[in-house]
Amino acid sequence: MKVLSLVALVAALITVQSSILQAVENKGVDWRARSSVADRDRYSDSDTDEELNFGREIAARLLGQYKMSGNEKLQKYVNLVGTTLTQNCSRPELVFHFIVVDSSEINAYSTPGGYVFITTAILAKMENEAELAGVLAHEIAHVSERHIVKELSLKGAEKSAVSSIAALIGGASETVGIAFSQAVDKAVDLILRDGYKKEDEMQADGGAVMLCALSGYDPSGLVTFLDKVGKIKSDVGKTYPVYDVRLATLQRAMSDEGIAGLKLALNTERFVTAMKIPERSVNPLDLIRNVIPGGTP
Amino acid sequence: MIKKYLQSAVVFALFSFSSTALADEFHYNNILIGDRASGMGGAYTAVSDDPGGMYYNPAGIAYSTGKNLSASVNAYSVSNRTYKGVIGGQDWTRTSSTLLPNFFGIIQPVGKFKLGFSYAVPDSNQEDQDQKFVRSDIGATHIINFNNKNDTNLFGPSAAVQLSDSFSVGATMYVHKRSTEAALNNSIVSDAGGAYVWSNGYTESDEWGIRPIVGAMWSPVDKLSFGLTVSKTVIFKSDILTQTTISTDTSTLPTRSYDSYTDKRKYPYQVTAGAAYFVNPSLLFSGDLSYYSAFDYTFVNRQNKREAVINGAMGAEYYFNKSWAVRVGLFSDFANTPKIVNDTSDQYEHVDLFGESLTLSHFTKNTSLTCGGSYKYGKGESKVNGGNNGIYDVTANNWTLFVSSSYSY
Repeated sequence: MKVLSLVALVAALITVQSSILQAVENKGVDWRARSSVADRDRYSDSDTDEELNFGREIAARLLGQYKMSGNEKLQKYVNLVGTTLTQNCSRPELVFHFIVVDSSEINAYSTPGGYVFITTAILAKMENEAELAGVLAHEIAHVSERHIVKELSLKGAEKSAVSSIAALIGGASETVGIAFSQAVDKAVDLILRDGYKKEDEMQADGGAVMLCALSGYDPSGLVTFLDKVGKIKSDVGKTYPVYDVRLATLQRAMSDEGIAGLKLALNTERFVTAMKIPERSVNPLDLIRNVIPGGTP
Repeated sequence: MIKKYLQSAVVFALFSFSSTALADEFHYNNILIGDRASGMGGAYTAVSDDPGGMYYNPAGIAYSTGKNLSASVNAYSVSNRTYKGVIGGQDWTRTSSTLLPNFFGIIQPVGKFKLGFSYAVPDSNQEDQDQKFVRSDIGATHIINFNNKNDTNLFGPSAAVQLSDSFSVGATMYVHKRSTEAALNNSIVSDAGGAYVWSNGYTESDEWGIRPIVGAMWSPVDKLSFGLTVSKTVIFKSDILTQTTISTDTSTLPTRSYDSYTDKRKYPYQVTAGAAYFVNPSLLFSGDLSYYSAFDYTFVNRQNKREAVINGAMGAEYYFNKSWAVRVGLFSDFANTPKIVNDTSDQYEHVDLFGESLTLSHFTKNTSLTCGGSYKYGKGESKVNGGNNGIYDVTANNWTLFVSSSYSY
């Protein structure tokens, strides 16, 4: 009887979760979009390849501006947390890389294709692993939802699109290269200066708490961290929308999704231990080679 | 006998310039505009979410997808009009064929607005006729050389904004330019020799004006949208030149006239209401009703009276899959002239037309290519001699083939 009850409970949970995911998926669907238009938001394997190339180029630019942390164990720890989250990511075709950079900015960045950067300053403001997971999940959501790709109207493949234009007008490959480089410049500006659209940030928040919950992390980690950062927002770059609005929206979304009251892992002790790991020198060139195949040595 | 020649020549000198038309101020749906819209019979006021929307309902471009959209359409249009038994019992057929850039448009988002620019050719024809009729009724040979060009071009900017998720407004400010040029040479030579009459006629006109189009789009519930547009063409400048030379007798000088005018054509208020039902991402139905107001004006010493017209259009679009779509449409193109009656002179022909359209489109991620066509057919009456009596049956048809491409990036 107990077994039957358990099976029924699991089935009910799966059904509810499926319904939630379906509802999230259907939200905001443009009913005007025709089959051909809807197809523009579908991405093929070649699109993903182009997205990877694009993201790798942006990551190389970012690494030119930030110094990678030499704390190898910290890099490993952050990568473990991040990789755990990506097991439930909606884009299994991507291999995510998590990179800690030495910076006094309280911020985290991500590029198309799955390169996630997190600063030592933001790590210093965290109190547990759930908060770290929340921030990383937020960046993973930006990647999963292709926010940069969509914002720059790359439609999955800037290089392909530009190639198509070049082919149409008989342009040379140099034209393609210039356009690609301009797109990378725009993406870097978006990440470091202009910030995402408010709705993209909200969507990333919503996706992050779901991802945390699915991965076993307490989804409130992101909430508590945003609340904390909001109080010192004068120190934060302008890539985040107004925090009180953002927090209210996130809490409402969590309530709607039925994950507001979940008490899952915080992993405070493990996080504190990881943060205390003494820094050891590491060859940053090796790390770059490891995380960016074919990237800038 | 000479009198009969004269009558025939004068008849042709008159009717080809005044009482009949191919490109065609007597109808309002002369050439369907745009890519999707053409395939759907022009039933597009409640859809309009691509560059073609700038012509049909600028409010619709607020819902256009993609950051930048461009589309161009090229059409080959052929019109035939046959006047039954008008030349000594023989039919006279006029044929126009023209290859024209039907439409080009581009849309870009700027902040909350969608801005665009488009160019449309809603009316165009080109006739080059060289015809010979053996007139057994008068024992003569009648030769007609006729060249006629008549083009209406619209170009200008558009802007649209979504005021809410379900409501948008937009406007297009077209510059209207219409140019006409026609030359008609008539000669009737007696088969016995010695007697002939001839006439030469030439007329040209250029007019400039504006055609503002304002529109609104409302979607009270998902999958259903309504569109409304109001427009009117207003002419600011018009220059007309006419020349006529008629010879009725070898012993006397021909009669000649050379005149210029600045009369301005008038155009109706057009109000179009449309509805569209987006059944699913593969199927769409739409319908339009267009009302054109009655008006009258004097143009080159002739009173022009136009009656109110209501045209209807229905269209459907179906995607077989993400790469292929078919569109079909039905539409009317009623004459704006009063019905022909006896005992009244100076009447313009009255021909009501009905049409259908069919196109096939192929899509890639960012591009589409559309091929297809439309066909119109109708019957009516004409008084080609301009007199009080003599009503002739007229049949008319038009077929248009077009190829269009669009790009979204």
